[in-house]
Amino acid sequence: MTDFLKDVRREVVELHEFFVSWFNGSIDREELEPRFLSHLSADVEFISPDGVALGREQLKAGFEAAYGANLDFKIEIRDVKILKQFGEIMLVTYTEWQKGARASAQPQNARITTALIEMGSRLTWHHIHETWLPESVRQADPFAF
Amino acid sequence: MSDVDEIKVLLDEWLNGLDSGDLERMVATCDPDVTICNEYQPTTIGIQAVRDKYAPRIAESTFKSGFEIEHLNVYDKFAVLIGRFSVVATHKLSGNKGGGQGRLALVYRKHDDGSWKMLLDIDNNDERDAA
Repeated sequence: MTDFLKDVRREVVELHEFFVSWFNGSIDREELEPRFLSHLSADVEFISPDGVALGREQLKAGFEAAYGANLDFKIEIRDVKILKQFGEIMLVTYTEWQKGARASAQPQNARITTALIEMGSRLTWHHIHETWLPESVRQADPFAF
Repeated sequence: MSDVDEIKVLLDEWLNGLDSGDLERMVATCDPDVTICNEYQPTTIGIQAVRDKYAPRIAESTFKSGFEIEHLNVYDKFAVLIGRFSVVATHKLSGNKGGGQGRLALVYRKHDDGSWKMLLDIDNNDERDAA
């Protein structure tokens, strides 16, 4: 489990580092496919904290439209865990802390994410679901990153 | 019974348990490590935490729940069910109604004996005032 956890933590952190670079506009547009979309399964579904469900093509369109839209955006990933693993499939959770998130009602926000990720020659994301952390938890955090 | 049908039965058991105020019927559908991530609430792990969360609610209110399955995908010993939930809670004493609706993902785990149990519940509400 430990080696898998190391791989999963790196995957989650690197993916979100890419998101920040993308929304900051500090990375080439050509990186969207290799750094993000190629990590998603064909039938992936992402559910945002607002309960909106997006498929692969909708995610692609959303990212393309938002390239370079937020220079101040930052993310910190915490508490990456593998809740269960069976064969190549893992149920993963982590918390995501955002600041400068101008598109969100709370520019400083915190969410918990669950994801179903498959090990293979690379990690493949099948399902991602985010929901808001308790407001008391968000308010108590200094967002010092 | 197929895996998909078994999971649908489990979902119905949970909903019918809630609607009938039968907490043990609900937790019988849960994996021992069940994780609940309700919006704006602390994440809980384990069956006792489900009891602790729902017992006061069931003592206080009656429920009428609904669920519309959007996707149900089985990945070997995991299954992901995504759908839209609705619930109306009626306070037993005052008769006041509350509740909500939104999108929910449930992850089920297949045990060695072939049974499926709910391992994860994560949800969002459609309408929420900025907290």
